[in-house]
Order: sequence, then C-alpha cells, then structure tokens
Amino acid sequence: MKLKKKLLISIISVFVAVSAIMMLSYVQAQAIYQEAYPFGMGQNHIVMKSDSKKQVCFSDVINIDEDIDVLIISRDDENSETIGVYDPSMVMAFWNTASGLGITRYFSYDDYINKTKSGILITDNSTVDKIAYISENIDDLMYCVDTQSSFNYYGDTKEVVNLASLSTLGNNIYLDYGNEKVANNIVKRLTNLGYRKLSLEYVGLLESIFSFNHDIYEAIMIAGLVIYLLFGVVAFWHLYNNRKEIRIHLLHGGTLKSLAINLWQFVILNLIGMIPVTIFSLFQRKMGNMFTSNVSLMMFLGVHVLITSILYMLAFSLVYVMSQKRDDIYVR
Amino acid sequence: MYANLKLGFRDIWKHKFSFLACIAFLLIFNMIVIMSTMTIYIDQISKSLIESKQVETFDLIYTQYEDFSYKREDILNLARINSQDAFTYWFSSSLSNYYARPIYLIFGDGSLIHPGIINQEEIAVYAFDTSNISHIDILDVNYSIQQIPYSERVLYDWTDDFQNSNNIFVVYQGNAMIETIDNMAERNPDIFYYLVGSTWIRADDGDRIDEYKDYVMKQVDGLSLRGDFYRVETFEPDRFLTSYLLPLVVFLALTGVLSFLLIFQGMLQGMKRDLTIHIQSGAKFRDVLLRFYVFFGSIIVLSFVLLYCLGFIAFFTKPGVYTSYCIIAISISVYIARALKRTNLFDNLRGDIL
Repeated sequence: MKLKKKLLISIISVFVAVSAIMMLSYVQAQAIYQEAYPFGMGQNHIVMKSDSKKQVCFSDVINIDEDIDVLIISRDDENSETIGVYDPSMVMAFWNTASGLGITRYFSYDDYINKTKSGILITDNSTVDKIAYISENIDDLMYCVDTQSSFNYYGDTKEVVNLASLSTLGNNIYLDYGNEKVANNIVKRLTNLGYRKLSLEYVGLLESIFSFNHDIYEAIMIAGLVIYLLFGVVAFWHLYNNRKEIRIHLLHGGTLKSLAINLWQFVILNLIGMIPVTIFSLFQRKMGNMFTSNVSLMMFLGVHVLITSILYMLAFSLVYVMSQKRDDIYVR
Repeated sequence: MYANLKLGFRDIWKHKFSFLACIAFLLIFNMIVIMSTMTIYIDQISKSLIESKQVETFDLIYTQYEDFSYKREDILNLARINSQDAFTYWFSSSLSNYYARPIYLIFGDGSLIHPGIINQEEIAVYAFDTSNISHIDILDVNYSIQQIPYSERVLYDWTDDFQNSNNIFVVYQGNAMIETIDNMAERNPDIFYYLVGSTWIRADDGDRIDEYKDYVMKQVDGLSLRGDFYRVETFEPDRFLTSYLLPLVVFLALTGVLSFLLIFQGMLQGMKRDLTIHIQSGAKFRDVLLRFYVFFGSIIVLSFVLLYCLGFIAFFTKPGVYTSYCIIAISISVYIARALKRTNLFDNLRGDIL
C-alpha cells in the first residue's frame, strides 16, 4: 500500500486524538474546579496556608487605611467553629438574612480600628436573643444568618467575628480582591510571615474520568470516546478500499509477515502525528482550558497510539482473512 | 420504490457496525453543537442584560445601630446629585391611604420613570392617563395633576414599583426638594437614610454614580455600599466558546467528514457488483440513489430522534441543532448524488468488482 494512502487514516487518527484529549480535559477541568470556590469567592481568589506555629496578628498583615477593596477570611484549622472576616468592601454583608435600620449592622471601619468584638452568628434557630447574646469572641451580635450562608462554606462554622479582634490570624487565609495591587501587597506580607500560596488541587486525568459523579456535560464528553469506535470502523473501510492490493500481494506469494510492514508504517505515521497533537495540547493549556500534566498527556498519547494501532491491526486482519477466503476477489 | 426501500434496510443490516458507529458519532457531535449553542445563547442574554441596563441602583449596608443624624449640608449634597439623571423616592403611606391609590414622592429627575415627567424646579404632580383624577391636596395646597401616557412608561426588569396604572407621582426638584426632605426627616432622621438608599441613577452617567458613591462612603456616617469584585461593566464574549467549544466542533466535524468519505467509498466499492446487477435488471439512477439515501437518511433521522427523546432539544438549542442537521443532510445527499453520477456503474456491466 502506498504511503500516501496511509496518510489519510493517520490524519483521521490525529483528529481523533485532538478531539478525545479536548473532551477528556474538559472532564478533568470540571473535577479540578468543582471544589475551588471557598466562601463563594470568585475566580481571582487566593488561598494561603501557614504550616509554622508562628503567631501572626492582624496589624502585621493589614493596613486598615490602605487595604480596601479586598476580602479576607481567616480560618484556624479543619474543624474550627469561628472564622475571622475583614470585609471593608461589604461584599459578604447581609446575605441570607434580613436587615433593618437600627436593628442590624455590618462590620465598620471603626470596628477594625477599635478591634471591637462584633460578630455574626450562623444558626437556623430564629429565636436567638440578639441583644443578650454574648460569647467568648462576640460581645455585640450584629445579626444572624442561616446555615446555608456562604460564610458556612465548610459546614461547621458557628461564629463569624471581626478579624481585627482576634489575637492571631488562622492558619488558612482566603483572599478575594477587586484591586490586584492591594492583594499582592497582602500576599507579599503573608509570604514573609510564613504563609504559602496554595494552588488548585490537581486531579489526575484518569481519576477525574473514573470519579463517577459526572454531570450531563461531563457524561457527554466521556461518551465522546465512542469516536474510537468510529475510528475502528473507518480503519476497516480504509483497508477494505485497498483490499485489491492485499489480494495481489497474496497472489504473488506474500505472507502475513511480509504484509506487516503496512502496520509498522501506520504506527510510525501515527507517532509522528502525535507531535501536532502535543503542540495543540500545550496551546490549549496556555489558553487555560487544559490542566493535563505532561505525564498524563504522554500517557494519553501512548494509549491513543496503542488503541488506534490495535484497531488498525484488527481491521487489517479482518480484511486479510476476507481476501484470503473469497475466491471471487480475483485480479484481471 | 418499496423494493428499493427494502434493499436500503437490508444494507443497514449488512453494515450494522458502521451504522451504529455513525449514529453514536453523530449524537456526540450534535450534543457538543448543542453545548456551543447554549453558550452562545447565555452570552446573548448576558450581553443584552449588560447593554440594556438603564439605571443603577444601590445596596446600602448600615454599619451602626443608632446616632443617625444628618446635617443640612448632606441634604444639599443629595439635592445636587439628584438635580439631573437621578432621583430618590419615598412611598407616602399617609397620602396613599387617603387617596386609596399609590402615591410616590419623587425627589429629583423623574424622567427616569417616565419621559413625560419634566425635570423642572418646584413641585409638579403627575398621574398616568389611565387614572381619572385631576386635583390633589398635599399639605393643604391644591395641585392640578398632569397626565402622562401609561403606554410610554419606562419598564424595569427588577421592580414593578412604578408600574401600577393608578400611581401618582409628586415630583420635587430644586429648593422644594431640599425643604421637603428637611421637613420629613426633621422628626425622623431614618427617612433621610432611607432616601439616600433608594437612589436611582442613570447608568450612563458615570460621574454622577461616582459622586454618589463618594458621598455615601465619605460624607454620611453609618452607611456603606455593598461592593462587588466581579462587577461586569462591558460585555466580553465567552472565551471558553471561542477557544474550546468551537475548535472541538471543528475537529469533530473534520473527523466526521473524512470518516464519511471513507465509509461511503468503501460501501460503494463493496456494493458495486450488487448495484451493477441491479442496474442490469432495469434499475434507474434514482433507484440506486434511494438505497443510499435510506442508509444515510436512517442514520441522520435516528440520531435526531434519539437526541429529541433524550431531551436535548430545547427552544434555545433548536437553532444550533437544526442548522447542524440541515448542513449534514444537504451536504451528504448532494455528495452521494454527485459521487454516484461520477462512478459510472453502466461501464461496469461485467459484474466484477474492479
């Protein structure tokens, strides 16, 4: 078979590979982003974590007069019931509750200056006596929210308190911002104090495919792997179209072994075809649509070459057997 | 005719694996087309929401419980903001009860509610032409009511406050506004804070919005505005659509086109002998064509029916699906007809498959 004819099936293999890696990377990106928005923060948000036991206090990190247009939430460890909030932009104010003039209020500039022990209670009990309520961290209960509030992102938070009133910041700092410069300053200060920036938790390609809690779009993308079935069918027809050559080969004393060079040519063309696929994948990664690590990508390409080669081989043997059996395929 | 249909269905059985693979591929392809259509649709909605925004309203946050007081200067500043392109309003329950119809006190530029309301000094009273009232007494002063057409009122998506056909608007501007607010808030400073909070400003008057924000944050104690880090000012098309979904559709389409060409070519070659005998026995071109149309038509129809039964075709995904199916159906039928014409089966009456 001429090389030119095999080029077509290799090109189809390249398109199949590109489509498959794009569809799988969608599933992976969804798995990575699934748990990535703490406290209802947006896509700019930064999570910082400190492993040292160093005591860091509010005034070390935040300059109340300059650091506006940011939201900082501090949480001690996995099961702490209190979070500290610094929210000069009032982004988190009065969600999941009602407000009334003279009855409720939110953290003010003065609160952060005077380190007042004001706070918000997370409860589904609507009979809390707001005025009488006093706890270790809260002297002034500003209002209550229900447990569906985005303050209660981790599910076990009871009290939301003024971050300035806490003696030390927690080990986990969640930061969202409208002004990047201010946020960068805070991140710099936190880094100097022993915090490190956490990146999104990477979920492997295979892990995300086999996690089995896909939504409809992820299911579509995974079902998109039927494209390999199509490839198998197409490989069969491709060889079927060239069955005369196989027949001629057989008539002139060729064997399966001597025909196998066709398979090797396909495998090599297929491998060469993976170069543009890799380049395209890297481009997609740069665009932010793909999170697949290099190892996963190489593994995918390897599996792709393996599957397509096996399908090609199966199709080849099918056509081979057909042309061996059928007496009516004769050459004039 | 029926014989050709029967032969077509026999072809389907003969090539069942190709048939199934094609249906599965077509389903997936169109589901991704549907995803793209949905993304485009959502884009269009957000675009129209952003671009049609006429008025900016604000979400006030109280940061203290009491000590709500104000200076006369604060009212002057509010009046300056409301002098044009902005107003604040107060629902007067006493007047409304008395006249048994909703009466709003509008402080500032009432043309945001209705273009017929003229932004002029002093007090003017307006009502929709659907209500039959010509005079109203407010604080023992008799005002004649000016009619404004109900059909020309400005509609806002998020509130129907000003939509009642019985509404009466008492519009204050200039000195009248300052004096009235001062009178109202003198006994109850809360009213002043409420008025500050219920300000509407024309969305394209950016300077006034900034001035208002500055006024609330810096000059009025105990008040703040809710911020939003992700406020969208201008519309940008979805990057995910252009950098991911559309390329994916293109790659799948290329795969599909090449696959179709190979499958069709193979089938034609495989059936050459069959078709030649068919033609020898008196079949015409259209009979042969019908056999192929049955095969590929079944693929298209069956995948469409499956897509429909799975509930993927909603009113906003229709355009994408229909377009995609039209393109597929037309191009396949045209291609098959052309290809069959070019493969001159009549030249091949010996019955071999070369």
